[in-house]
Amino acid sequence: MNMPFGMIALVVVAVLIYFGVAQRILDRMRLTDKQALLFIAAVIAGSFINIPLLRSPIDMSINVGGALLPLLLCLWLIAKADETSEKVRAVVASILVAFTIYLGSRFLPYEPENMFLDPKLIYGTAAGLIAYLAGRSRRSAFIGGVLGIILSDIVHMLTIIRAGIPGTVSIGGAGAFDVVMMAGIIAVMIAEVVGETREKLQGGPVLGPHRPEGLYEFSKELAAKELKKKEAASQLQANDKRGEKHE
Amino acid sequence: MNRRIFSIAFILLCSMMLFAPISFAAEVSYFNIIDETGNIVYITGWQVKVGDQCLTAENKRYEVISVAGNTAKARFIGDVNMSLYMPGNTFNYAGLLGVSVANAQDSGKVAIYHTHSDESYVPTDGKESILGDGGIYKVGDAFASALKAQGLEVVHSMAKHDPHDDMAYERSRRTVMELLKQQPNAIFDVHRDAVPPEVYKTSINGQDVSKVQLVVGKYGPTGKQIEDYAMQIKAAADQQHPGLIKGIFFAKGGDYNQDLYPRSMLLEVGAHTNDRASAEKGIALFADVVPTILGKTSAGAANQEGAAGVGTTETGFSGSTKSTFWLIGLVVLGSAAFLFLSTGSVKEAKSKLKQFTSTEFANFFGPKKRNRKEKDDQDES
Repeated sequence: MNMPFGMIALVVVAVLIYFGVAQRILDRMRLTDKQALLFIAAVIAGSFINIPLLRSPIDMSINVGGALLPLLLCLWLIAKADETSEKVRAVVASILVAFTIYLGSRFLPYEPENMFLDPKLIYGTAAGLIAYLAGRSRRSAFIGGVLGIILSDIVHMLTIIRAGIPGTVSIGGAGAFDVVMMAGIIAVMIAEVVGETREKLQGGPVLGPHRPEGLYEFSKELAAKELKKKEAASQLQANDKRGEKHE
Repeated sequence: MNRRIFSIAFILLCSMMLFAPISFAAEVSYFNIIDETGNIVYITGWQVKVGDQCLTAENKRYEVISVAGNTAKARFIGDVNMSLYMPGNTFNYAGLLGVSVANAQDSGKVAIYHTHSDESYVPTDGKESILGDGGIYKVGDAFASALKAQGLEVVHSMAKHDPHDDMAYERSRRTVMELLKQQPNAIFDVHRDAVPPEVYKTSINGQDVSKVQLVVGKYGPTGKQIEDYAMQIKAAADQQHPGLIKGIFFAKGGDYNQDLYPRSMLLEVGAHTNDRASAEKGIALFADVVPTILGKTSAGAANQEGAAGVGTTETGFSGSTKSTFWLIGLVVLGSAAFLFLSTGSVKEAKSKLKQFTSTEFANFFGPKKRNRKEKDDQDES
């Protein structure tokens, strides 16, 4: 494609970072590291598949990687939620996000010259904040982001059908790079940052002797591991010495 | 309680569908960007913000420092030496890196789409906005046929993204991805501006044409690379058709899907006050420049063939390289900040990082290691 080296490097770095971040986010969604990687692989492969849903009055399709898989993941997360209130909160957060997008797309500036923030960030941030306020959970932030955008697409479809505007609705059509996935990812990041900041502002996590029991300490765990290693090593040495004596 | 919350949310959703607005009439007003002495240096549609930049037709770069009413005051940053951006300028070690760009010579493919499907030209189309069928598609057609005349392959998307709202770019993002699957060499989002007619009106080779404005999304880390690309386009266009490019607007507010492909550009061809025929002529002239930008011309100073694209001695690092640094820098900074925030101390953050690098991915290699250990044990016994 006659692309200079610098451009290729940029594309490769950008893609690696994006999927790297996505993997870190997805492994918080009841997925293991490997499952998260597999999910990303499925999203990439699914990006090339569009399933037509409607032909008339407008063309409507859903992209497997960009919308169907994230949608299924969200539904699974809702189904797996421990409490009914958690499920309700996730659904309510999604509807609120859809409403925010509707209001935003109506009243926010839309020309290149006067947009103040990229829509992907606005809606991802909105989803993160709303879902965090509604559910205080990363999972509901992800659900809010993904379902919010999908719902807003359905609202858009009804809007143009009602107004008789010719158009197409391709839910998640940009695949892995669609606003559906991006909003989900940004929402979790926002929830994470807001949550951690709040904890920090409230004085936590407490370090030192007054740390509450059960609060995870990485350094402690590592120290314990290293201690174990040392013990094992010294035991091995002792065994060796004993072995020499036997000889 | 849950049921009540749920029903309120549901009513909200229904109300959105019922009261969704139909008309998205654009408010037509424009902004003058003035320099320190009060001279108008740039005119553009709608509002500009502090921090936005522009490159005038004369290659003077300004940055907006204050906005009052419809006038934005700008600081002169400097004259840009466009010859440095001529696609012929190659990196010193281009020969070494040339392998990466060696590929079969195709004729070149260009993709065209329109995010704002309603944009129209009042003198010709009667209205400034025709939902679903704007005059802008005809300008796209003119661009496509001029490109075909240059021997390039063209994919012109007729996808509609109405209404003309804040989500339009997210809808056109899907069109961009569809187009990218066809592997174009460059992709253009063709728009029109909204300013008085004289801003875009010019005469080239004795015919009345509308000028073309390039818009660069400065938002996001890939902005630097797109900025470089815009400079290359202007440099090439200034040489072939002086006066055709009205200027470059560097908008802070979005990436306009330019993050999806390094050779993406947003073009504004004339304004709603210009007639469409002049816009069609303007974009046809712009088509002459495209083969040069893509390095598809046989020979000449403006041939990009072999350029490594990592910068030249004169210009320093290329936009791509700068963008790559930005991306990596953002990730490192972001991770460090998050580690500190989530753990509460530098010591804990270090430990968490160590734990992450040593154990987080261990399960990918775990079975192998275990097998080896078992094998070792067997050997020993």
